[in-house]
Amino acid sequence: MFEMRQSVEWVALHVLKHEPALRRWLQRTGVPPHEIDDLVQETYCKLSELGAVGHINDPRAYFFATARSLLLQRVRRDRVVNIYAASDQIENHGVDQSPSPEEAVGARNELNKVLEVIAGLPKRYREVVHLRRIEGLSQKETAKRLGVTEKIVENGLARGLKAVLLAFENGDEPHERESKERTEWVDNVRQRK
Amino acid sequence: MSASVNDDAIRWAIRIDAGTMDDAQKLELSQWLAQDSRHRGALFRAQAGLALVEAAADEPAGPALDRGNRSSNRLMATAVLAACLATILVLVWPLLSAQQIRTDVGEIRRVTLSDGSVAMVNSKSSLEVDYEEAVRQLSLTEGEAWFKVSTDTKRPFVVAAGDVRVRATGTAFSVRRRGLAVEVVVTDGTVLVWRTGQRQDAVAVAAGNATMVDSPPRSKPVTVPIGDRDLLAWREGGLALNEMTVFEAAEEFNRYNIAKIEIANPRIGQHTMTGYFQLDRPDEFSQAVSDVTGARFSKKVNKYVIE
Repeated sequence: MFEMRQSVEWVALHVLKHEPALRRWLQRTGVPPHEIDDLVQETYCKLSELGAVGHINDPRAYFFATARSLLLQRVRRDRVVNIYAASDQIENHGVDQSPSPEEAVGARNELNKVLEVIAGLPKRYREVVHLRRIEGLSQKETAKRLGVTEKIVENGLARGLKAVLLAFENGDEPHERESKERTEWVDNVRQRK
Repeated sequence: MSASVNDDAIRWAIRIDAGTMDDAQKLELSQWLAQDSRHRGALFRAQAGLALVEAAADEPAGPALDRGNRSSNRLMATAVLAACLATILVLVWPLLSAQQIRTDVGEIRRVTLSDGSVAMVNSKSSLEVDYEEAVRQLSLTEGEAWFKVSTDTKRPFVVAAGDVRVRATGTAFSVRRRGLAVEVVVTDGTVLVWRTGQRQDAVAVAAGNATMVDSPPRSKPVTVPIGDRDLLAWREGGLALNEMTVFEAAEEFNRYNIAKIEIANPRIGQHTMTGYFQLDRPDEFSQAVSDVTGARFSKKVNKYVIE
């Protein structure tokens, strides 16, 4: 259990941010789009099986290497061999080692990015995320505070989490829909402590 | 197809986190996870996403988060489990039973845990409950909680507070974090208290005693009798002052109330008070201080000023 926590946190802070680069690499290698999702999910499954992460010095390289070995397994199992006979290519060009500048900056940026994504949500979703994740209210309390059902709270949170994960899927910068309310929200959260 | 897997995974991650699933949903989840390694991967990814939102909220202006890496830089075996299926039992089931109890300022919550033990969580506190098969593991990350532990000698009840551990099998005790120190008050039975890595120096604390584990660590925690101090009156919404200075008492009230008591006159702060008050009546306390010491007391927006 403790390890589970640890590895979730480790993935959150050290792996998720490399997902866009991994997807780009898979795309360049010629993996068709619908298989990229599969491979990414399988890669995360492998990471979830890690009992400990202390021995991993370079999370990015580990993430890529895991995906690469799963990809090779697929090629050997004949699942994608028709699409591209590219196992040499995978072996040779393998993992592209250089993180992009924004990836190299570290976790701080990721956290800001998450806040930006949440800030960009429609107000009713943002309120749910705020009360649940930032104020730490329970689902029930959040529902009560907003005068809605728990189902709606769940939906709002799902919508927020989806937006956050999507940002890490595409590597997009969050949309800059400037509004005073939004900027105020981010400032508020940042000044909370 | 995979996109809807991600959507499903998001749902499950949120439900697991909310701790509101009934047995039917738990069964549905375990079946969904057993179906496909991609489901397990997608769930793990969604949980990481949730953890990241939390991290973003927790340290908005702090330095880059590298805790995960550093804290785990111990020598550990490369424990890679052979089959994905094993993950469900080893990793996900315990997660289903994990529970987090957080309280706001002024909120005191009583929770019955799955084994019948009772936790009372004091104002502005945070408690994680992580029951495993061999051990009932809890973690007090902030504030104070009192436990009435249901007896199960085979499954110890262990509360972690920072690097302090308190172990019981069937007793009643409270754990309070005071800055870097941890205070344990035992009202029934005996508990063992130690610091991680110093298990051999564990002290047994018996009913009627309190122990303070200080930081920086002394060689051994110091245990003192509770005497007639009522350290746990908060469970009934009360605050028992026994020869407590006005400063200390104000600090206690301020734990429970958003409207804070401010002692503008240090001489008044040194006075000692004895009496029983309601936690949520800082005004009555302020009035009492004023009556006893002749100090002036005024109510301002969100604070009581004693001068």
